[in-house]
Amino acid sequence: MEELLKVFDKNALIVGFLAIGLLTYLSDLFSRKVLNGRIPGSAIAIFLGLVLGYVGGVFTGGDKGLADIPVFHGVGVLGGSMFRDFAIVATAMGASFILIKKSGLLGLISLIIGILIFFISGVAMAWLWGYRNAVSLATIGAGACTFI
Amino acid sequence: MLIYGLALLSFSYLVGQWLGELLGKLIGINSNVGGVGFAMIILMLLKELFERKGWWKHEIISGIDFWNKMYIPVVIAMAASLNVKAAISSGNLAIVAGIIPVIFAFAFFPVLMKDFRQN
Repeated sequence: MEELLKVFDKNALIVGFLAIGLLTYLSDLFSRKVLNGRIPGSAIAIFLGLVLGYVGGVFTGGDKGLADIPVFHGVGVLGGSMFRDFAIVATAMGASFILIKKSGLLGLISLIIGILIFFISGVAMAWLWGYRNAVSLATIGAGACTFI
Repeated sequence: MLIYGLALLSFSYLVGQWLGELLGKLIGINSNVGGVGFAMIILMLLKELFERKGWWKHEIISGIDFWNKMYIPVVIAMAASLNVKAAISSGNLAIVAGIIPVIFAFAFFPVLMKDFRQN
């Protein structure tokens, strides 16, 4: 057991790959067998991820969710800003200027209005909950934008 | 070669982040402003260039496509390493700020689509 923990400790990121792979597999299974595919497996996996993040926070008292448990340190690396931004940039590969032109005015309007709706309603919620300083309002509004 | 695609992605990423840092410094905020967006635009421009030159081949694409497909797993890992406990224990704002905007969007976009079809 001690040896295994040593291997996990030395290869945190690899453990992260395995952990997220298993989580996604279980979510996919749940999606197909129990929900008949009505909710996509990846959505369930993200939700389960949040649940695990909560559990991690409760157990360790830290602020990095599951990644505060030493064995799952690599999950935090995989979900950290470097890999997150790198993967986001890679998604631009699927975009092309021809398709962007094709989506035209409707695409542009829905993009802008979508961002505005999420930001403004996020700020409005924060205002209703009693936040008044600009930094908090902008953070919550932008948070609603990005996460949704 | 697979590594060419990966290197192209890395190049776009690094230049974009650099521009983001420079813009942040320029407007006096001590952080990265729009780095990811710049990187995406650079990658798209490079893709256009490569397509025109006939260099946009399967091998290059698969080097980038791996990370494109890793986006959801990375988001899952990110969700698992967020400070969910603080978000929930500091009240229900986090949950409401997630749900209400989605309801607004669902209410609004069908109207927009209908208006557009009529025109």
